[in-house]
Amino acid sequence: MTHARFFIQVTGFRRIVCPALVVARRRNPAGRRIRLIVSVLAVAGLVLYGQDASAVRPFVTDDARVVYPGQLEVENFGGMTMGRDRKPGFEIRSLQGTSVTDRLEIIAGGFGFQYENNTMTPQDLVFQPKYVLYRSFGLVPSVSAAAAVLAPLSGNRQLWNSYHMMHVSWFLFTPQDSTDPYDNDLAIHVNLGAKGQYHAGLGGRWTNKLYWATGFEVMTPISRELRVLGEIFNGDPFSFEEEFPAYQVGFRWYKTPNLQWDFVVRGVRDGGIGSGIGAGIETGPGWNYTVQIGLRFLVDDVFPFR
Amino acid sequence: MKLKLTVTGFAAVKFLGTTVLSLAFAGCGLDGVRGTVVSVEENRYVIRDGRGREWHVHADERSHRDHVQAGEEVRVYVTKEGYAAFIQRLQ
Repeated sequence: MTHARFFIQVTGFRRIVCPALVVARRRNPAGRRIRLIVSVLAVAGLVLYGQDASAVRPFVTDDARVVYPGQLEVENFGGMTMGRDRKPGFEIRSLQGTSVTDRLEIIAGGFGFQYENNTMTPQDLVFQPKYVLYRSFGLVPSVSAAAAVLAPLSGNRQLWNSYHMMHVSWFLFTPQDSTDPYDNDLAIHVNLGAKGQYHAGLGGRWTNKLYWATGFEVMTPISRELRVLGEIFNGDPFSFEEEFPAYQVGFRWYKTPNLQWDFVVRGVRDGGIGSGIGAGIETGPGWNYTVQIGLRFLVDDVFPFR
Repeated sequence: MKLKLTVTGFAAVKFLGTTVLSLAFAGCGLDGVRGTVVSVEENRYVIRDGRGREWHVHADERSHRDHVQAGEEVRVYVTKEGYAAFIQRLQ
């Protein structure tokens, strides 16, 4: 594939996000910042096109694998959330991570913005260590544990969200001629944990909720590089308020071993009178839907860990 | 209120359980090793990692492996007993 075609794909990503940018440009000069961020991500995608590595984060929530030591992992996504009787909200986000050992991965960042009701706010920052407790391929699952805290940049600075969870993942049906252990025809994961919220303004009150998720990624008959993914979960772990029923379905295209595109539709049912879900975008009662495009890539040997 | 206490109790037990499991299972299963192939003899390989340690690993017909030669850089997933499930040549 030529770089020109690749650029068209990247600019296609911008076109989808473009309605938000048009609104933002008319009413809020901060919209230029979103355009700048999208442009930077597009250029990064172009620069990194063709390098060799392995994509490792198949699900939005997470699973029991980490990147190779020293690799830089960048996960970018942008989306539009729609709900009944509400104006669409837009978000864009970038997560960064690396592994310091063969089993310990650190995710940090979450730089991004959301735009809704003519207002742009930063996204919460994330810090998440994850440790692979047991690594296996085939019928015996891999197991990892992760914990995270989110710095409340997007809203009430007295509310600190967190989560911890165990991941149990099966990486199945690796072709015999493939030496990439994560080149699987089918991957399944189950996550179980808890979401927590610390309210500093109420005398330091802690509140916890059960968290769970289960999902799969399976190859399509069209191509091994094109996968279908699906997941149901008890709300996004980044959002304390979000609860079941929540789901996402979509496609994942392994453009190169180190670069993948996602197209995902998420649905979350708000059983109350409307609240903030996902990355903080407000929703109305009933079902709310998010159309999301993700670009994930890895760069080898960025950090001196081996 | 009772439900909240139950969930909080579950979270505490879960966190404790995660910690205990982490300590109990830490380092189990396959290890990932990156290194340079020192020698290859049929199904037996000697690999030197970045810290200078030598790993003696063996493979069989179930192993997923590239054809490698001495001097090439590889990533290997290996059991504690030295069985290599994957031998991947790095470009």
